Parts: sequence; structure tokens; C-alpha cells
Amino acid sequence: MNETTEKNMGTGRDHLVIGWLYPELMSTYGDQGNVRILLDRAKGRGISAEARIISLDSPAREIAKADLLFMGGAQDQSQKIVSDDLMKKKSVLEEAVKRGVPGLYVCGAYQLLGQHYAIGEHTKMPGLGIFDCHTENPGTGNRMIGEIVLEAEVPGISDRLVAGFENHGGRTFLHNSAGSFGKVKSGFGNNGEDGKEGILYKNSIGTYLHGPILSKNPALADWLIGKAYEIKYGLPVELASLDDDFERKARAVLLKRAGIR
Amino acid sequence: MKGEKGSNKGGVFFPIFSAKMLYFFSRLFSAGRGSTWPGEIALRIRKDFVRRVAERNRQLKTVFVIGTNGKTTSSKLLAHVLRKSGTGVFSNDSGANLLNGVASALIKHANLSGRINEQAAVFEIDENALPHVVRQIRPSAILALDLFRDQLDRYGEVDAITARWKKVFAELPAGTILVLNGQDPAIFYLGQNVPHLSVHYFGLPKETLYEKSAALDADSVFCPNCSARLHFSALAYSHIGIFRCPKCGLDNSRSSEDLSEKMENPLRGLFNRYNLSGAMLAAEAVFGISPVKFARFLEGFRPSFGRQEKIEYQGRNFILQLSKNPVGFNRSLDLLEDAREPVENVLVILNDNIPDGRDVSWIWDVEFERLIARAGRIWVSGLRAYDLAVRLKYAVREVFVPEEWHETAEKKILVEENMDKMLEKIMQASKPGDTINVLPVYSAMLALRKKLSGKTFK
Repeated sequence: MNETTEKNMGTGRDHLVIGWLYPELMSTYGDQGNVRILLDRAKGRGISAEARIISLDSPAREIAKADLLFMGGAQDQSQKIVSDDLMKKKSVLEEAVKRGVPGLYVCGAYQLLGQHYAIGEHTKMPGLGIFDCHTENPGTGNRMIGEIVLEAEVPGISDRLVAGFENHGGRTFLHNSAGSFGKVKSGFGNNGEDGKEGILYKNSIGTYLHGPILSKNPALADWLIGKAYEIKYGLPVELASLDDDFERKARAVLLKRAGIR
Repeated sequence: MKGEKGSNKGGVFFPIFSAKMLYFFSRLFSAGRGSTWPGEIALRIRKDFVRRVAERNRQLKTVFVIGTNGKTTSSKLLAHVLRKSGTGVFSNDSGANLLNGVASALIKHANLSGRINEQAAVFEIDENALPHVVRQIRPSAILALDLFRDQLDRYGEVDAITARWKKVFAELPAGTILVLNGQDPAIFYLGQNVPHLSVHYFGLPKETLYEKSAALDADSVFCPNCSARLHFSALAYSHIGIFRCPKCGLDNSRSSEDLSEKMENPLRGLFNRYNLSGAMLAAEAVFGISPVKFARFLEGFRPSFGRQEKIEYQGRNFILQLSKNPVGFNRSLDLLEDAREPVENVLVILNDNIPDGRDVSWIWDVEFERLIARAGRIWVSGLRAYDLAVRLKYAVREVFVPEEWHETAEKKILVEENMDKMLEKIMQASKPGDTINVLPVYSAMLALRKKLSGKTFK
């Protein structure tokens, strides 16, 4: 018990490794913000944290060493390069996800972890098959672009309202029992039809909220940090509250536009 | 040909007449920017209006200027020098760079039968509008500057734009001149497989490029030919530099020339050195103007509005530097870092109006840590001021030690969403003679300029 309290207070002995997957390939638009925020919010609680880049030259075992994984969106050419590389490291990533290592997989990364990605009627590319979903791109060039607000269906998150920006051509459909990241309150979400956004599998989240999603949603950042701690040290952690005044006001602009609150 | 209503001049009299009337009235009632709507009216009357006017003016040498950053400045450099050289030249208004902006410029300079006296036109063209505009008016030359991530919600990724441009270039008539930035990998590669075109590359000498690795705002760091990671031996910024592909051997080290080497740059910043180098090469390749003459004709050049523009307001010097995407913003920060005097006040205005892009994610690719370290106070305004405040807060936490976070953030980050109220606050906190450096997005630049100078545009 003593040890628990010590750890929970943050003794400086705790250390989290954030595995940042393919930053120079999967960082289209401000994705790096998420990594900055995770590092900072961990440190703000006395938990030391470091980001390690896991890219084309990295051996697969680097994935297994991470306590939290992040992968952003990409351009087409980059997504192809990453897909080819990650196929070789698939089993390690899958093992980590199944073990409960928390992760945030945005846009192209979310699609990549699914079963397959189809463009039009004739092209079908296999995904990593870790998430039970698939993505279809009608190839019409019609994209789902705009502000989005959702109600997260993530057990234990301290604030369920999540706001951000989506911009995707693919429509993702969850299979069978797969749970969504949240219910869409305003915006398109996975496919603009079923009112679902993203996927939640174990402690991994796939989502179309791109760029610095964590900047307006500190509760989500804290949930990821908390899960990383819990999986690594086998104990839940109480995270002290931080001054999130700017964050709340930034999110309020989008909530107001969406007519929520 | 379809029936031509109300005209015996091959279908352009009526649209030009209507649009010129509109110009007249919009000026009379000072209805603000008249730069796109006359063209819009003409295009609604005749869809192929621009093509028809172009066909009547085969003497007109037209240069299109394309790219994410630098279009307005490069166009202005080229047009200024042409004018001074005695060539009659006109341009579209800055930012009016879709087909309707080009049509508006043609209307302004054509007589009622569609004849234009000038010999040259320099048009800046929007990245996405290029395919559409090229179908209507065939340029003598295209000057392509750079491609960076910008307004993803509107333009899509760099790859998507490159694919569109590739198609445009392939279909250009033989002999069309391409003046390309040979140090932007995607643009360099666009010139590699078009033997029917006359391709020229500009770039800066290796000695002037100091960066050793690509920053996180870089987009094109993988080989456009074979997808392997490029090796850069020197970089200017972002992904602009000298590279070689270790796999397929694509190599730009000996392709580019810099005609600007021996002259003084009238504009600050390395990015403007590229704009100058591109304009000079275009002037020589298309109009035969030598570098020596270019330098002479350049005298008296003044930058476009909102680009290093100084406006005096109640005794304070506001210096406006349009900053609308990550790479452009980071270049504005270069300018502040290079300034000799301390930078006491910086006003950053972030809107998400349509011309700015609705998605403000890009602020996380701006190196605000540099600004936090350099600036005394950062005044944060605009519709998305609080998004910016979050970004700045994290910059403070990266630059300062934890004991100083709170106090530094309170002292340095001052937020007020409303621009007018913000201006009042700045007035109260400053004294005559003070300099306020302003880094606004596009809509904010126009609004602030109007407020400070009482004018809408030049």
C-alpha cells in the first residue's frame, strides 16, 4: 500500500515511454502536438516521460518497449510506405494492443489498423487486421470535412465531450461487436451514416479527429497516460488536476458552434 | 458556335460592358474589394469568357505563378521589373487568384471589344485552380515556387496537388517554359519527365543553406520517384534543399541556378531570396531580361500589402507579416529572430474564416517555442485565439523551468478574442514609438489593415 501511494504521488522513479510511430511519414497536420501534450501532462504529474521515434529503420522490438503508442495521419505515398513496413512488424504491434498498451491511432493510422481499405469497386488493400473494421473510399473525391463533437464511450474518461476536426475520404465501418470511440453529436464520424466515431479496442483508440486532438481534449490525454501507467505498473494512478482553462475555452468555441452547451 | 446574344463582337462585348459597369459602380459606392466579382459576372454570362479574351490577344505573354508561399511577392517582383523595362504588364489582385480573379484583371485592361494593349500578364494562380485556369488561358510560362502543407481542408495534401499539377504540365503545349524551384523535391521532380517543355530550375547556392536536417513541418522528404528516404546535404528550411536519393539516384545538386547571387535582396528573409531567384530566372527565360538589368529595374520596389508592411497607428509602428501556414509562419519567426532590436510586442491573430481554412491544426507545426523565447509579450486574438493560447502554453512549458511556468504564461500570453478590444488593450499597454509585430492569417490581415489604415486594399 505504501508503495502504491508513493507511485501515485509520482516519485520521479516512474517513467513512461511514448512510442511515436513514423513521425516523418505520419504527421500531416499538427499531429506532433499530441506527443508534446502527452509528454507534458505526464511530467506535470511527476511522471517522467520520453518520446521514442519508431520508424522504418527501427527494429520491431521497439514497439514492444513502448508504454503508450501514437500514430498520426498521412499522405497517400507515405501511407503506402508505412503500410509496407508495418506489415513486417504487425505481430509485435498486435501483441502490444492486445496486452492493453494504450494507443491513439489517427485517420490514416486508424484505417491502416483495420481489416482492409477499398477504393472504388476494384482496388482492395489489406490492413493490419488489428481493429475489427474496414474502410471504403468511394473514390468520388467527396471528403468528410469539418468540425466534429462526440460523446466518448470510453470507460473511466473524466470528460465525455470530445471536440476536434475531421477530414477524410474513407468511410469506416465497424464489424460485429467492435465498440466505437464515441457517438457523434455533430459532424460525420466514421461514415456519416451510423452515428459512430472511431473505434475503441482494449485501450487503443482509432479516430478521425486529426491533428492535435489532445489539445482540446485533455481528459483523453489523461486517460491514455493513466492507462499506460496502469498497464506498466499494474496499479491505477490518480492524476492531479492541471490548469486547463485555455483548453476548456478552446473547446467551448466548437461546442457553441455545434449548439452544445 | 452557340448563338451570341446582345453582341456582334464575338461574345465578349456584353460581359465586358456589364462587368466594367460593375467596376464603376463598386468604386462609386466604395463597395470594397472589386477584384473578383466583375470576373464572376462575366463568367456567368459567358462561361468561356477568359478563353475568348485570350484568343483575341495572342500578343499577350502570360506567366502563371503557383506555389503555397511566395506567389504574391514573386508576381509583384516580376511585374515590377517588366514595367520598368518598358513592357506593358498587368496582374490580378493579390489573393484574387481563381479564374474569376483572372477574368476581372482581363476586364479591367480590355476595351469593349476585348482587346488588351499590354504585352504581358503575370497572374498568381491558386494551387487547386491551376487545371481549370490552364484550360481557358494558355500560359507562355509557369513559375512554380514550392509546395507545403496548407489549408488541408481546402487543398488536400501536397501529394494530391502534385498529382494535379503533373497532369497539367503533361498537357501543356510543346515549348511552354517551366521555371521550377529545383530545391523543392516534389517540384523538382515535376520537371523531370516533361521533355516537350523548356524546363529551368532556380535554387540557392549550397553555402547559403545552413540547416542539416528536415524540420517537422517538412512534407516532401521521401523520393518522389521511388519513395526511399532522401538524403539532404543542406537545407534552407522545411524540405527545401539539396538532396540525393540513395536508391534511384535522383539528384538535384547540379540542376539549379541562382541569378540573384550577386545582388542585394530588397526583401528580408531566405524565403524571399527564393522568390527573387525564381522571378529573375523567369524574367530571363521568358522575356530575356538579364540579371544586371533586373537588378537595375528593381530599384524602388516595395513589397505587397501585409508583407513586411509598416503602418503607423496612433504613434505605434505596426509591422504586418502575413503568416498563414506552418512553413510561412516559421519564416515569419526567422524574421523576428533576425531583428536587431528586442521584440517587445507580438500580436498573433488566428481566424478560421473560409480564406484562412477552417482547420487550425496547423498551429502545432509552428515553432512557437522560438517566439516564446524571443518576444516580451504575445497578444493573442481572433476567432480561435484560445487554440493558439493552448499551443503557446505548451511552448512556455517547453522553454522554461516548471517554477517559471505560471508566471511566464501570465506575463507573456495575453488573450482577447475580439480584435477591436485587443487593439485597445495594446494601445493602453504601449506608448508612442513602440513597435508591434503582427502575425495575422489572411482574413485578419485584411481586417486589421482596414482598421489601422482606413483603407481596404491598394
